[in-house]
Amino acid sequence: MKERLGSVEDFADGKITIREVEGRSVGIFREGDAFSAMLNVCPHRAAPVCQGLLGGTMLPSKPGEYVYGLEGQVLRCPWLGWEFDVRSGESIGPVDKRNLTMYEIAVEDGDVFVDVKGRVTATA
Amino acid sequence: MTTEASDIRRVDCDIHPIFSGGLRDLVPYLTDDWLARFGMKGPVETDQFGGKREATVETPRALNIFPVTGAFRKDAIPPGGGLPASDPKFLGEHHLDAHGIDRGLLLGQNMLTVGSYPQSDHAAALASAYNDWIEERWLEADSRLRGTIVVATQDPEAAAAEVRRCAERSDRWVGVMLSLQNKAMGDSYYHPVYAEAERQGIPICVHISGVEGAFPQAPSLPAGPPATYFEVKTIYTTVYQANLVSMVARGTFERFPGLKVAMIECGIGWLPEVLWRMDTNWKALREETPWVKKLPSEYVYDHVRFTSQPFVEPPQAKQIRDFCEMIQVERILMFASDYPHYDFDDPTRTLAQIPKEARRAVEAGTALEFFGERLRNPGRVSVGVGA
Repeated sequence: MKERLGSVEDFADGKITIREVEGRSVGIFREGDAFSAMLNVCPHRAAPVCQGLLGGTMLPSKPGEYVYGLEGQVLRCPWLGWEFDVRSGESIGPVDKRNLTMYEIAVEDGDVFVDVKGRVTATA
Repeated sequence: MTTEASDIRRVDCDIHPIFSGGLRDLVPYLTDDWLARFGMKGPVETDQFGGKREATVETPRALNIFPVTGAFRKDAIPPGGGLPASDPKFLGEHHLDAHGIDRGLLLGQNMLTVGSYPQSDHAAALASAYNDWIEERWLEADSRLRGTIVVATQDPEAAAAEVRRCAERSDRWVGVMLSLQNKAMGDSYYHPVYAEAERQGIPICVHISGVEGAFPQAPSLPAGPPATYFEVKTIYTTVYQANLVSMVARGTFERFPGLKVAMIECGIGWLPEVLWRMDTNWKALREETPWVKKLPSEYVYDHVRFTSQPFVEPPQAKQIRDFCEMIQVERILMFASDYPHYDFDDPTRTLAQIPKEARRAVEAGTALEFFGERLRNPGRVSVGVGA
């Protein structure tokens, strides 16, 4: 069941907006015209992951080297810092295979709709 | 509101209250002379690095080694801004109410490192002012909270006097927060504090400081200075293993039969190895320590308790059950969350991992027995704090 969350302008660009949808806390990420929706629960310890920071991360590198990348794509859990791709919900790096639970989200005529029954990526 | 012991279903043995305005929070509790000495009479100044400096003394911190995630839960920032756990009302709602916590032990974040000030008189003055601040700002604000008396062990006699001052003034103080020197807890150096804690019937609480190995007077870390926080976070538990063994070996619990020690956030995964190893070694080496009259592990079960956070995270869940059996979890473990730190343990999730028959003990029973009346009863807050 699709639920209308508001118009595109109701969502700040480059940020996650947290909304209650059918009793679930859901994070809506907007990047220009592109949207993603994720359950606001970290698969590690059930922390409110969408209250974490958005930024980049250190990419795997040689000993003694630092290579920073993925700026703006990485959602870091506010508790133990597990990292996820904010667009796909996929776990980043070798820490764990568990991903975020993602929902179908669509923009129709300037309105944003989410379907929390339609999981895009299930938690492994 | 009176709370009966049976109503206390959940105890959190590790909550960290935090200054909202740095050391200046202590201004009302310090004499003019100390304020002048600490450079806290004038405006907050900018230091040589461009940072704000509330005083000419700083809380000892190891700022070059710090979690990349930040030390605090980002979701614990009060809605009006400010630092996590700097507002008693928000802490009450966000943590105690939300998780059904009936009693919470405060371990003063900003004083975990008070043992590392080189000046014993500065440290003692700050510790006393801090205890007054805790009483007025936190213990009076929420009847579920209990304090641990901050003492500066640079001067053990002064530390003992501070224990007496607080414990006799209010029964909301349930323990002594012992900031360690680079001396084992089994050393006679700490005896004045132990004697007073035993006299008052309140446990000694020791908590990682985060400056282990960072200052000459702080407990040393093995293998020299660490290069990363990952190393510190993994190996600091060895400091507390050594402290535990020293107390058993040097007869601390024979000298102070009523002494109780809580090791808070000191790690638990090492317990099977250390307890078993002590027992094995004592059997062969007993003559070296003839005052050790029973199995070393029994001294630990009789006198020492540990807190659960950060809870063990083995690859397979069934290994947690084996571990709980190995350490006799129902005798020795007390729940702690470490709110508002980034490595917070959610009580519901942690307790669900404890075998059912031991869960109530870990959730509240062991802490209620260990900390006794002062934890159970509603408690009175003293009148005339700072007088």
